[in-house]
Amino acid sequence: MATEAKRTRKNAQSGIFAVFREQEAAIRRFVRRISPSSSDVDDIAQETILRALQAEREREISQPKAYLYMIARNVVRDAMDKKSRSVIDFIEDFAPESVSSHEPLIEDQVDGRQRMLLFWEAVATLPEQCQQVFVLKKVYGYSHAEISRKLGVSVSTTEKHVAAGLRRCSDFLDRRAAESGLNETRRRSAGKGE
Amino acid sequence: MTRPEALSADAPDLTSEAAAWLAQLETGRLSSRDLAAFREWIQRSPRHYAEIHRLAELSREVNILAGMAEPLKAAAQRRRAVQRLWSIPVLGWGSLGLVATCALAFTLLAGMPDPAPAVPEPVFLVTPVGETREVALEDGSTVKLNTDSRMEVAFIKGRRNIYLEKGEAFFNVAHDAGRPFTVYAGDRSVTAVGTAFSVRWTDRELVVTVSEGKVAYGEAPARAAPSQASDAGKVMPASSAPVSSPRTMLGPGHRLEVSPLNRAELVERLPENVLSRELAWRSGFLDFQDAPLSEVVSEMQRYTAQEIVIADAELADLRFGGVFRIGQTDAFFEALELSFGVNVEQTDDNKLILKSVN
Repeated sequence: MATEAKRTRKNAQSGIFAVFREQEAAIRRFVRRISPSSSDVDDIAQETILRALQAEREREISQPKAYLYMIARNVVRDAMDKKSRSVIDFIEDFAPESVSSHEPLIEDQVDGRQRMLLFWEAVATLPEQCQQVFVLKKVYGYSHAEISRKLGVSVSTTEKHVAAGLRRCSDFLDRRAAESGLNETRRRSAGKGE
Repeated sequence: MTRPEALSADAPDLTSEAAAWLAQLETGRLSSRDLAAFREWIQRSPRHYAEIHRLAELSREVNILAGMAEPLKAAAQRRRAVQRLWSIPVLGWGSLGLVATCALAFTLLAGMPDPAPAVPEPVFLVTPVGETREVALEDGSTVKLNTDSRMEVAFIKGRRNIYLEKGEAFFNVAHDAGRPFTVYAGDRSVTAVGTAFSVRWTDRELVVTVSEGKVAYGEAPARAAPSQASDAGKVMPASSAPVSSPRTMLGPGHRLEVSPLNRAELVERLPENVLSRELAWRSGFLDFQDAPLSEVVSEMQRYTAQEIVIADAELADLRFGGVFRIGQTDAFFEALELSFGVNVEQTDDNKLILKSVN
């Protein structure tokens, strides 16, 4: 085992690839757990190794295994983001003429980490089942069908929970924004008002 | 504000409707009839459009939670924990009168006996491992103690003294220029007049973090009469002795570290996001971002009585990120197992051994 690892490291060209091969089954299991749907697993696994190879060309990767997991996680998150973005695009097709559809990017204005903590608090206030569904959907990126199977509730129930969860989060953020005078939430929604 | 008041009165259900439509859009399952209905709905008014657009942006933002990898199992517990926490006004530092009742076992100073040149009866505040506690002091200041901490509050005429014997505490100091507020930790002291800062004194390492206002930092003279036999050997200033001459001023966002080895001092200015992460424990969170596991574990160790051991050297450098509730170390170990390929093994003598899966 140890000698094999050494040999892997010596072969600098394909170091990360060898680790990927070694870890592929485990990474796929990991991806399956966190990816939006099981059909995405191949795509995500492939994207993961592609990004890893790219990164390896640019710099040395001291911990290939941990690195692969980190990339897989990022790929899943990006997939979720892309999906959300496409929903927003779809909605923006209906923009009334008086509304300009592009606003300054939130990410540029707000410390993402702090915002994440805020969301986390918001999620923590959800009723139990609603929270379960919401966490599966937004934290783990499960599909409605998978959530429905896992929790033994109907797909339409999971939809209702996701809607209610989002609504409550939105209320929570509004309340918090009202509580603290110079909150970012307020700043960012100021542009959206009248 | 996000929505005008009139709107919520006119159409109390707009947000719910928008959220329901959004949830359906996100599933991607939309029949042509659904689509027609959606088109009709969103075109009813610009407010309909604005509302669903706002929620869609929010929904996208919430995706960042995907970075947390919080185990589901912990969710229900956490919810209860948060509700418990909610009963304490953790967030409103200004209105903490109620909190005094949470100090339970501790008798706070009801007022200074008038002719009191001597040290009044001291007050001790303690937190067990894994718990935090918030206490309102008689001068209107508040103190929040982190895990495994112990301090003595000794307020006398003209001076507010705190002796942090171990652990960590965040102070929100009521302004009183005539009565400096001084925190003593080991052989150092931190003095404020009206400000918010934290002092951490663990394993002879001192860390001072200032979130608002300014504090003066310096060496503290020896304390004449330690009030506790068990504290023998600790160097503390006498309550009646003049405050040491402070040497360093620390401003908002500054963090001072005093090395446990050679007492070397390092002052740095923290970016806003790092500052909020450092002080996340005040809201009951531990917040790590891209931190080596060795560091995360030594931090986690403060919150649990179980000894945590990193068995594989290669694990020590594993970069780790996540947000956890204080007192729920299980969630941390679950995240390690689920998302970071770490095997967590509990031994018979109640240790937790972290190993690489392969």
